[in-house]
Amino acid sequence: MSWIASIEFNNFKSYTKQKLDFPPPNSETNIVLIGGENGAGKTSFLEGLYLCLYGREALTRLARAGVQIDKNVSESYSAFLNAALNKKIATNNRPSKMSIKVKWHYDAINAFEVERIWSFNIKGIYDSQLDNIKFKEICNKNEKPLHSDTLEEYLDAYFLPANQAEFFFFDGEKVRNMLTVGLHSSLMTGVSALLGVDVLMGLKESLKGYKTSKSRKMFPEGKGRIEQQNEHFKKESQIQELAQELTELNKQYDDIKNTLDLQKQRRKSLQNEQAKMGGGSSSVESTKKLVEQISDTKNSLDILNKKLADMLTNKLPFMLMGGYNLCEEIVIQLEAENEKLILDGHKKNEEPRKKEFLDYFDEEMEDFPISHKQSKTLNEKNNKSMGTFTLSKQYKP
Amino acid sequence: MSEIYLGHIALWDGEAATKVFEAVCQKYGVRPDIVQQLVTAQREKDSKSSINSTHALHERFDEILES
Repeated sequence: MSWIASIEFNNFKSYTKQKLDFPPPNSETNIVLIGGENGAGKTSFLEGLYLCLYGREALTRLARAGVQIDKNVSESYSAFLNAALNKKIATNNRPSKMSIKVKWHYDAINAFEVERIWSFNIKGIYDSQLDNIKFKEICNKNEKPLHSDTLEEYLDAYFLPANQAEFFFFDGEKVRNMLTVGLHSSLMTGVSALLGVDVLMGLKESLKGYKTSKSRKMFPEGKGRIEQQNEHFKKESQIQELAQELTELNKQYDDIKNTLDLQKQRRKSLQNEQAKMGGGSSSVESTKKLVEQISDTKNSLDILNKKLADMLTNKLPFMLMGGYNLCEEIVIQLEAENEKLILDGHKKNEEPRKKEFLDYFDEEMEDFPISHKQSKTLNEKNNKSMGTFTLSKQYKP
Repeated sequence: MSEIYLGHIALWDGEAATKVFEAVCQKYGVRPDIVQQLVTAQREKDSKSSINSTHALHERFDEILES
């Protein structure tokens, strides 16, 4: 918890030299109310507090806190300070100084202290060149000077940012006006500041300015600048469209890749399954070989089936009828028949030669003086020797 | 993503708000760390601590956007 421990005025408005101390808050008393008659310096106190903590930004913030500043001085920091210098000091025809010092604690023993000192010439006119800000950290009574440029940063981090001050330091008499007249804008501004939206809005404006600046550098003043800019924006728009298209394509690519991965997993799974079933390695080559083996096996099976069918239609019925011997006898008979057919063929083929031989034999034998009986015996032997064929198998007619 | 410090922007302070912030960044294809750096630069400009001019702010923007 942070709190204001003291505030000290020197030559500020009606305060020539005044220091006010405040006790640390607790759960019972954690609101400070400052009261007094008209002209006692209540508003001046509020103005001084803002002025010391927030410098130039105080004017804007004071208006939001319900403080009505004279129109003659509200638009200028210098005019406001000229009017704030204590009148007695302002008219003494000597250079003078006005200061306000605020000390705030950020825990029980550690605090920060800031003092702003403004300088005025002999005519009581503010001189911004002589501004002086003393800023320090007080850690357990040891003082450590800090750079005045870091004041705002420390206020943000350890006390109260300027854009939230109006919610904590305000003119109680004007609260009713704040609630009825400026509620919407005041509340919106306050909430916006509390959330940090104003920083983002500021960033938005800065980026707009940055873009404009870049654009000016890219397209210097001159003829055709507008056309160049338009062309650039057109190209930029095309780039954005292409980028969007690329995003879509990337998405599609991802989808396809995922599908492919799934299919790969499925293939691997099938190959593993195939390997488990005896398909050998899971390569495509071995799968091809396996298919060939299956085809060969199928062909072999077809041949065997055909043989079996032949056997069933030829030999098997005989085997079933009379057993193996009958079948064998039939085979021998068929072979003998076949042999006989061959021999008969030979015999038929030899018939003309046999006749030619016998005729020649008879012709030659006419010259020999043999008896009729001898001649008959010779003819019989010739016929027998040439007409007899022996079968290797036993033929049963 | 969760390493990004956005505590100084109350709007994005907290886990839920950070998720919203990250979702918005993703929607518009912007890197969250870039936004964080831009916001920081803007705050430095607002507080006039290390960036005290528009020119200096634009130079910082250049550094951030070219990183």
